[in-house]
Amino acid sequence: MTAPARARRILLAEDDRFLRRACEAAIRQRGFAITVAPDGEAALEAARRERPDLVLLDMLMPRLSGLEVLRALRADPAMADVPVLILSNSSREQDVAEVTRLGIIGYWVKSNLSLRELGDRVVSFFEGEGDGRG
Amino acid sequence: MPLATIREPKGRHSRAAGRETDQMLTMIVNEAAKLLSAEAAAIRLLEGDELVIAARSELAGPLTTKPRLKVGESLTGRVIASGAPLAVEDLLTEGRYDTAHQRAAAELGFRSFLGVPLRTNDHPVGTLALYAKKQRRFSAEEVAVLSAFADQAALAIEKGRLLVEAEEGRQVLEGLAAVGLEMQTAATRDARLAAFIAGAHEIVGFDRMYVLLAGADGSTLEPACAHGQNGLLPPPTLSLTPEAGVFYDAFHGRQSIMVLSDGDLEKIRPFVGPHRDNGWFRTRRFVILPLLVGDRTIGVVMADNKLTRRPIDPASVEPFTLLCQQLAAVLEHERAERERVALLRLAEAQRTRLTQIFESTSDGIMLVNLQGGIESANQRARELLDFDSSATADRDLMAVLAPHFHVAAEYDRAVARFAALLRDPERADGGDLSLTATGRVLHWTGRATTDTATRTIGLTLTFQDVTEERAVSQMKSDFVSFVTHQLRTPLAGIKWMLELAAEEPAGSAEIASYIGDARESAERLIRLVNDLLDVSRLESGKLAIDAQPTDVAALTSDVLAEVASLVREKAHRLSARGLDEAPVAIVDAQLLREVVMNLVSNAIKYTPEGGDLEIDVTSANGELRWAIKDSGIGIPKEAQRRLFEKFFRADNAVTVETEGTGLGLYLVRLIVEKFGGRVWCESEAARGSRFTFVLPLAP
Repeated sequence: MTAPARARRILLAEDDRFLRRACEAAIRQRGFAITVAPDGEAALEAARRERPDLVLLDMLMPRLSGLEVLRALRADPAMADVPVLILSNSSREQDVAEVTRLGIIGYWVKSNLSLRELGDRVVSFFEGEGDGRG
Repeated sequence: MPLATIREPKGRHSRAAGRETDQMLTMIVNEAAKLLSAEAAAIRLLEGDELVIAARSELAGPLTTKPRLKVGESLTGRVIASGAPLAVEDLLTEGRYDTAHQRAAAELGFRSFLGVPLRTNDHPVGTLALYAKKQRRFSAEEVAVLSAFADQAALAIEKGRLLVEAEEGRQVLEGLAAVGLEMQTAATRDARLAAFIAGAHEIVGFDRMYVLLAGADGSTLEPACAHGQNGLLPPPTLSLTPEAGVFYDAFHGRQSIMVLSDGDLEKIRPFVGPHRDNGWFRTRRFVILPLLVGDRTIGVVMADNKLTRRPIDPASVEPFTLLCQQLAAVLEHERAERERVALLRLAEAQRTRLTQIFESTSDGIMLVNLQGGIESANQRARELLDFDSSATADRDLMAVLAPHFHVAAEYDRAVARFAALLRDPERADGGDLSLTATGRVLHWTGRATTDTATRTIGLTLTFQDVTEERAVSQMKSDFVSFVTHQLRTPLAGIKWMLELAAEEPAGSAEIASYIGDARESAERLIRLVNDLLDVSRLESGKLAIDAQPTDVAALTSDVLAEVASLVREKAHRLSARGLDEAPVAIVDAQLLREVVMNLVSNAIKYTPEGGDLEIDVTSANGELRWAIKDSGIGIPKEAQRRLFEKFFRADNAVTVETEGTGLGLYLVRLIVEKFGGRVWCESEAARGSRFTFVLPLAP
């Protein structure tokens, strides 16, 4: 396993300002670099520009929904493999099915997680990456 | 059809035996007389206990003036009585016999007599007698010759009789056939019975006849027709109990009963009961026949000769029985036919009713054979699947479904499901069909169809239009999803903010900030829950509404005071007109406050800093008019249509602030409409909006 030379960059797409603030603080605290986007369009743009190592994606956002962002990413050959983790407070079955089909790391409901758990999971994702599980 | 009838009972050697026999007999007497040199000859035949002239030679005329002789009377009578030839040499001198006759014969010039019996099967049936004018001793040969002639005569008579019998028999059969045909082809039951009675009367010749048929419950015999006593009322209905005597026995015993003598009369069960004195039943010589059909008795027929008191010839019973059998068969056939017609009508009525139900039901029903061909479909099915069953192309289920799917894969899926069911109909199945072409959703069920032998011959499919229900269901599920999300978001906010605050070192400046954010989230959550509750209660009509005359201007001033700091923060310019008048509407003040607060907050929120807000309150035509105009982001045309819908948020509103619930304007509309008013919006994207509501003024 290789410890990365640079800090991992994470893209957070979240429209709610409180959740955005809290998430950002928690991720930064773990030593990751983080870019935040307040809506779907900004998220897609930031993803293309920054090539993050992980995208934390909300589902219900203005401009472009999380699903639409994911579709666009997967359809783009340059971005097709970027790991995406859905962080949403909506859990409609058809949405879960659709994003799973498109390829995600996981689907987590924000109100069911503490910030600590969120951080832990992101860390363990990166630690598990080396043994081919990415 | 005219029938040659034999009206008298059999046993009489009928002189209507035919001219042929008469001729034969005449020839014989003439030949006999000639051959034996006698001047006169005559044949007499036995009828009952009398001898009757059958043939005579010319000269025998004056001799045979008495057409009937009693047996034993006169010479001829003795021949018969003794059964042996009798010769008298000299009538004048012979003293042993009937002297009166002898004298008469002698006066006519006859002196001698020879008589021999005629025999058939050793029975004497008549005599052949010769009269000669001379005294004469007849030799044995002459006796033999005369006997030979007698034999010939007997043969001729027998032959004649047989011919007559055969003819009679033929005529009876013809008659029976004719009557039978008439009975069969008669149009009504009464006509049938009349044909029977008339035919029976013609062929068999009873004086009186009547037909009694079993009543519906089998406990009575009811008169069907009667013949022979025109002055009398028809026979009455009889109870089929032993009281009915011989009727009861004939019916239940299924045997014909003939009472031809007193001896017979004694043997039968007596007829008692209320009708015993009825003229129809007071008879001492009669025949009664049951009408039999298979193992059932359907009635009885009674016949007698009470009017003429003639004896009943037992031999006449056979053709009568045949007629009665025909009658029974014809009546039974009629009954069976009536039943058949009734059953047909019933089946037809049922079929009609089923067809009506089939066509009128609100479910589509379709019968499909195992090959997937549509055998029948009711109107609703044709509507739902949009096909016309008269077109042959629309006779195949898969073909009918095809135009409804735009995506081949979906069509294939549907087809596969139906195909699987057709292969194994017993399985039964059901599901939803999304007809993408029309946007309809149909719920279908399929069950095996069996024929009367319980073999599976296809499928019965039913279809229901569940488009509405699925849409509602989807809406509900969407709503739950949405609300879940809306509630979880501020909750996560509270949770995470407090977590951050807890991890800060004591005295950190961030703590207050985090806690502040947590509180704001909590407030948002509370607002959301309240809004949801209001909406729910307003929608279900359960909100307790306190409608009072309310000063709308004062209420507005109040709200403006509350938002004053917000207005200052965003540096808006606010003006209000008409607040010093006091238009009064009958409304629930609290609810109206929500409306005003909502509209004012929206105006503030969706107008960029330094904007203009104008409020206008007026009254005219019994209406209160309240309007707020802003210089804000406006509302795109497409969004304007849906602005007051539940959960709707225009896209440009969402970019400004993602925290709206989409309930605000919906609530405004609900409340305003509840008090009999209207609310609407005029706007242009990026050019501001004006929201107006009107309410009826308090009278």
